[in-house]
Amino acid sequence: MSVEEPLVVRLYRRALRIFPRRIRCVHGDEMAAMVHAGWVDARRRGRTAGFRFALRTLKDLAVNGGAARLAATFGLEPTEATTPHLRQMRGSRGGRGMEKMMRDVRHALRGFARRPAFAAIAVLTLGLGIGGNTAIFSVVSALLLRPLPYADPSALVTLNHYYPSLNGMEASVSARGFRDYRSGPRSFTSMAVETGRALNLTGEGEPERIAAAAASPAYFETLGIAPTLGRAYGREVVGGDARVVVLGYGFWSRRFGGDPGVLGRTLALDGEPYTVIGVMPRTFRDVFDRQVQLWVPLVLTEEQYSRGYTNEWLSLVARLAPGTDIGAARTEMADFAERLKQDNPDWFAPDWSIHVTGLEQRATADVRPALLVLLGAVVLVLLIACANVANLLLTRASGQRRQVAVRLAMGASRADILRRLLAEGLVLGLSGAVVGLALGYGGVTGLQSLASRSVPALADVSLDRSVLLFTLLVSLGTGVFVGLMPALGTLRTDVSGALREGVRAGDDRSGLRLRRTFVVSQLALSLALLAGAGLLLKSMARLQAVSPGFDARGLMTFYLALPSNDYPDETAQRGFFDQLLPLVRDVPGVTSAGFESVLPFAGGWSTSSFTVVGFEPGSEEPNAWGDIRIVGPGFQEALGLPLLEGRFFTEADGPETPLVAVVDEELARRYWPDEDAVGKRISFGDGPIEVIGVVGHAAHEGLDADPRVQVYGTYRQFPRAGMFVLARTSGDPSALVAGLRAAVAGLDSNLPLARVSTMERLIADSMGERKLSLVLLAVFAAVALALAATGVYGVMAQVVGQRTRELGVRIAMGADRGAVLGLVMRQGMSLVAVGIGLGLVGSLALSRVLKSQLFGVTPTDPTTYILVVAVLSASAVLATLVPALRATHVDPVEALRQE
Amino acid sequence: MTDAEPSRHLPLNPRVFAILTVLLDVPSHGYRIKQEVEERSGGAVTLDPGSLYRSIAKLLDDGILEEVPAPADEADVDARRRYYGITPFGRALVAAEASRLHALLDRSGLRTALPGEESAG
Repeated sequence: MSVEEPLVVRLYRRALRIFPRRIRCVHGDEMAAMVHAGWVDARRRGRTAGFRFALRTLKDLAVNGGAARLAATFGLEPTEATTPHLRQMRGSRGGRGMEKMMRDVRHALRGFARRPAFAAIAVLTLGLGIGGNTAIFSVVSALLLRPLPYADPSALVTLNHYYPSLNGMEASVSARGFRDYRSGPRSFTSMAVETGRALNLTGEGEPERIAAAAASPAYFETLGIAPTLGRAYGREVVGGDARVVVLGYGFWSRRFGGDPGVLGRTLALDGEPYTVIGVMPRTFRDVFDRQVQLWVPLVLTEEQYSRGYTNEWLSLVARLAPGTDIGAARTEMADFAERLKQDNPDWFAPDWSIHVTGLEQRATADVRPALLVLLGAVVLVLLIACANVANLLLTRASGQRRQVAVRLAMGASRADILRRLLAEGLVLGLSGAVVGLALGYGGVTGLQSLASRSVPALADVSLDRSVLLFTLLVSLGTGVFVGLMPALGTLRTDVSGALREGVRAGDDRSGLRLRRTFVVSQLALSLALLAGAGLLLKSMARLQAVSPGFDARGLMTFYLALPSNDYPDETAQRGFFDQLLPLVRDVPGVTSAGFESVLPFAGGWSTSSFTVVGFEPGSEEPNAWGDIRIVGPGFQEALGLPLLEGRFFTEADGPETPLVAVVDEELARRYWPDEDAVGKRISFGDGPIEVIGVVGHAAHEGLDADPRVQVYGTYRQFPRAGMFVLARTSGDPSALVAGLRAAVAGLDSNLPLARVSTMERLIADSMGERKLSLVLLAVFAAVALALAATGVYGVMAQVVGQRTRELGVRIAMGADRGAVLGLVMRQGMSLVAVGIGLGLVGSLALSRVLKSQLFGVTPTDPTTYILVVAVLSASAVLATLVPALRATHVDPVEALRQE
Repeated sequence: MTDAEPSRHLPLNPRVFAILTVLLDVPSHGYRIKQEVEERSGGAVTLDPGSLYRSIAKLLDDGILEEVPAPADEADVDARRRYYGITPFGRALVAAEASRLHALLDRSGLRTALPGEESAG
């Protein structure tokens, strides 16, 4: 269509998603065309007609789209579409009850239609609470509750080498260990290992670097998932053809458009031909790294098996034997580790052991505390929202007491009245659910676009059936709560008393007591939320103030991996990087450049134990152990790392000259506290390496991680097939990318640039989860604060309304306005004081759950609490001040005449 | 699934009845059905797109309507429009509903009291 559709029609097309696919795809265009024609026609008749048309279309969408969607989702076809079924309903007793309920619902709707502002505020308030719960629950459901995509996932475990004295580090396992664990212990039916691998895909189109995994033959069998297309590999690859590849679903769809003919095709991976034999199902993902897009066989060699037990580079997954629980497996592996240590005393630290962890537990361990805190927070927000709406209804209920009394006197049963109030609550709750679902959907989409980079698992989050069910249950519960709370007060109405006295609106003692209780609890709950947000905010500020130890500004980084076909040996690899360095330095804008094998904040790590010559570890003390980095000349300047002693590597340090190393200040301080580190020696077992310089410590995993000691070597002596390239500029680092790409292509046009990112971006991503919890908690706290302030305002306004006559008398008797103001303020503040007092006690008790989320702040940080109390008190004072000021303007004559 | 006995589907929803009566004479597309229904009922029955197409989808499922090619004498054929015709079962349904309504009016004695009603046979 060449004519641009009006916004209304475009919105309508979007909203058509509410209809099931079947109807939308077949009739959607015609429906939109009909709305288009109707809109044009209505607009011609004027603005009001247009508005009315839009409202009608909206109603049509909601009613018919909702009904069709319900029918499609739950297989319930409301036959009303062709034949009304009212006849059958009228027949039964249950039908009569249903009819009554429907009548009450209609009554409630009419009541709300008469007071649209009241209804809108109530629905919006509940919608905020329900929406928050929907959004967070959908994340909890996807990340914590949804089973892992493997057969019987509860029987899957991982094995790790555990080093209590190295900050409780859990390391991978060695090939030698894998062979022993597979053959010895009886707790497991099958066991597989894998190692992450990045492969260059060349041949078709742009060369691409692909996150892959090399997984041992039993990998797919252990996980118990068959491919959706073709076959997976198994033990036949040992001694047979290991040049086969199994594709992930995402990669298959992206690169091959989901073509089933991909089976049998050959992919050039790192320059070697691999035959595609299978495609995994869409839900399948790698056990250890969800980025993995394809799997190739890992066939361990005798040489790899013969390396030591502490040559730890394999991630291990195992399936428990039927009838074996994880406790039994732990006991068996602990004994096994003890025997291994006794047989090989030289290999292991005295406290070394093997950890068995359930895969499900492992998969959620990182996010569980943060998510549970957030879930707790939204539940608090919902409680506050409920209290607010119950308050609103209470105000109205106290106005309705006389009406209720009249109806009771005329013979209405209390059940009838209860049902009517319940209907109101349910209507509000379910309308709140609609708003909540919309907010929840928006919230989830927002979260995904904000944070999918730093929290990739968010991609799995969706508003699925379980989330819808959760929202429905929450909103029903909410509806019952807000409906019944005011009902309790109203039903206690003393009929004759209420009729005789002519109860006025607001003159309802028991209702007011209930409302005060609500306000006090709202204030207390808000304080807890504010305190949580405050503590996280302070942690974030502390964290951002931590220096990474180098200058992250103006730094561009990317990764290059040399395929072994083209760069078969160390000479070729060294030669490539030797040639690349001057080319990178010549890129316009680059002020300095260097290489590094493992980049800080990029997610990878490489550690090793080593010997410090002249240092004897105690019997309970482990060997020296830390980060190992292979870098090159110019690296220290490019990263902006301070040189503290000696010198850094130069081009002169090469294969022919003596081996040299640079260490960080942590290492120098730990092993040579009062001596000069330069000239000392360390060893990795192949002869001594001389320390030529000391540099500052560079943070690695994150700003909040405990520092490890660091050892640097030069690629000219220890060549690597893959290195990160660092290029520094005084301007915008992103502007360098094109030039850097050209520089690499000038040497090898088949080499893709992988993981292109600025250093600042990497550091920001490392704080992504923390930032996300902070933002969410801050939003919840702000909502809570606003709701609590409204609650205080509402109650105080009612109090003033109730005391109008008394205040009038006081003013008539000569009380000055300041005294009246003080009177009302004192009453309000006593409420606030109780709320804040309870809130302080509660949140101090709760604060421990936040502990794991904090950095550099104690859970009971006094300044945070003082600030939070101040903010909450200030809002409460403002909320009280408005009705209090109104009280000072009471006209005594008017007030006295009112009776 | 079609239940072959029309009387089991009665009474028809007034909206559905209106749609079916429009289609008795000639197959039509959605927008014309809407216009016809609203015109014939004098605006008493309105068909918004959601209710119209939900009904059409259901009637197609129930074998009461079927999609047909555009009539040969159609003046402005728009390729995007789908045309719907009534099935024999649909016709039987309309007839059954019409006689039910007649019977209802007869029984209530209202029919003779209605102004302008002679002997609608």
